[in-house]
Amino acid sequence: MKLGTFGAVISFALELEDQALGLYESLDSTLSPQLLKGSQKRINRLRRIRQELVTEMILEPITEVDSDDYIVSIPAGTDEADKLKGAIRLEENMGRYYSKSAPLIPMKEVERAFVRLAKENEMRVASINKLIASA
Amino acid sequence: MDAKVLKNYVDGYWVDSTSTRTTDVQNPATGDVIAKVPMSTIEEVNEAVASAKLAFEEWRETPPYTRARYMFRLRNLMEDRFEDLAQVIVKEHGKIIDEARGEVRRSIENVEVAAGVPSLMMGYNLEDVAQGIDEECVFQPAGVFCCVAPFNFPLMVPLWFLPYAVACGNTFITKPSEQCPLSQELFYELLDEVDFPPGVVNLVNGDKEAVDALLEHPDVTGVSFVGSTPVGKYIYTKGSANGKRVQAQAGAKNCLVVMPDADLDKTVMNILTSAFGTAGQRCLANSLLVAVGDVYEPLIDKLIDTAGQLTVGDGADESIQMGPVASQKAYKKIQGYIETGLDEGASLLLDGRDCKVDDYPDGYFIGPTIFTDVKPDMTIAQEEIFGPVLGVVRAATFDDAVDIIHSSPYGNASSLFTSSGKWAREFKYRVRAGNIGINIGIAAPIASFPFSGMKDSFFGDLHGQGRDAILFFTERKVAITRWF
Repeated sequence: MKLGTFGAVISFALELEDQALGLYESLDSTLSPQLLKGSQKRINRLRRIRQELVTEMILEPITEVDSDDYIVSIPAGTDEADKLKGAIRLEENMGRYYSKSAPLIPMKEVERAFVRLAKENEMRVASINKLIASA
Repeated sequence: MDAKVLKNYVDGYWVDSTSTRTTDVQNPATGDVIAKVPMSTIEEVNEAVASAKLAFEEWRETPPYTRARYMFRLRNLMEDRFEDLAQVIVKEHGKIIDEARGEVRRSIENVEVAAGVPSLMMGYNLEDVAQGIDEECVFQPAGVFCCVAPFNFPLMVPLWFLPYAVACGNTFITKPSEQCPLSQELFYELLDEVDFPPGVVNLVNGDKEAVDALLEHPDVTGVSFVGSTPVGKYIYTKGSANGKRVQAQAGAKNCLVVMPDADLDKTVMNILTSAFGTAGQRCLANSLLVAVGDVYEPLIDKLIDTAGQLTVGDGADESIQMGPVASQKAYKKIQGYIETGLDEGASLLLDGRDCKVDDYPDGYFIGPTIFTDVKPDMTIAQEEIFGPVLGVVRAATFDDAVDIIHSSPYGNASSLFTSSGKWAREFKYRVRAGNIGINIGIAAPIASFPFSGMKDSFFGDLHGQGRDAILFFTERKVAITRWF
């Protein structure tokens, strides 16, 4: 689905983050508390962005973002190892979403926030990969 | 089930109006009646004024730091209820949710600036104006103020006035738009939670009868208004004649000028927001596009293409980029202007008249509409349409564009899109409009600046917001002292 407004872009980001949060809640891993805390922080940050950075002066329509390109399905009942692989796919996916959307939003503060989120996704992927390698 | 009848808020209580007259509040996306608003009586207005006058005596003695803390509490409550406020605005007005959130944000910003009253209200002094004689100027609250609010920013506009008035030690009466009163109802629920002393803030719903009662009441010190020019002139004239200070922000017909050196991709996106944001129902909307020189052809091609792709529908849906117009009356008026444009010989390149939205058969939807071959003396070039209708005029030179802007009786806003500092400076310097945008399609002053306006777009001396607001809502008292 095309995401044509600032609100739609943020709402989809929140959907992805909620999906990640749900996945980390179901994980039984030493990394879970850190990932969970990080996810909640990111969700709070996105909500603040939607509430504090919206300015009706520059609400231009957004083009070229399609949510269908970023949906990751992680089946229920997946085992721990598969969940971790799913987490990597989800984090990489989110990173792509933030990186692609960042330059399309006409608000520098939001663009910077998205770049930061994408960088955090990279770091989280690295942490999960390290965990898998050590298992 | 009958829609609820809204209450007034007077002397710290929600009270039912005794009036037998009500008017319907509709959701313009569906046509549903979502509330009824009472047309309060003169007696009810008088009661609110009496309550505000009594409350003033104690409130004006409250230290500014304490008054500021009320503003902090209000600000926090508005942040907590941010999304509720935005959703109510969407329902009563029709604008899209992002625009409603933007409106809530701007509203909160005014509360934040008003919380700076301990600094903003400081006076000044000078020792030894003559030997042994000192002189000081203090800013003092002035009494009971009121505002008459428009429908298009039903939450934000009253907050151009109320937070400053009350932070300065005055008491206040809001007369909300009778078309969009629900966001003020929710806002006053928050004011009730802030727990001001009774009578400091009051809400009286109504129509012209209530407004006239405020304009004529001897205990109302000042009136703030935003709306059309004819009504603005009426309020300014009548209010002044009755000894009140008045600030009346009125109508507009704003021009957006595009120079040949403008970044066209970015310019087009700004034009879309400016002309079609809030379905064109903004006093800052640019509804006349002036294409200078040879920028016309490439600009029009891009504009028609992107404007035609805007999604129109229920503003509560985040995928929608433009909502309905706010009422059936507005719908018919805008359709009438489109017909007039055709009758006068303009060319309709993008026709929004038959906009249909699935599942919303009764909504007041008009799609983005673009006329070209518009002449500056045409009705659609001179009169405020207040809808998603953009007229395109050609100008040979920058000077011709400025002449087109100045041919309008209005002077609310104007924007220039250019890469040249020279043209930007010329534009800022010469154009007689109060709110200027350089590569900005909606030149909306932030809360610490005045919301300006000139010519038939403003009646009065001091504007809403910022330092102007502090001056409007205070008296300057000079004291000269000598001690023997």
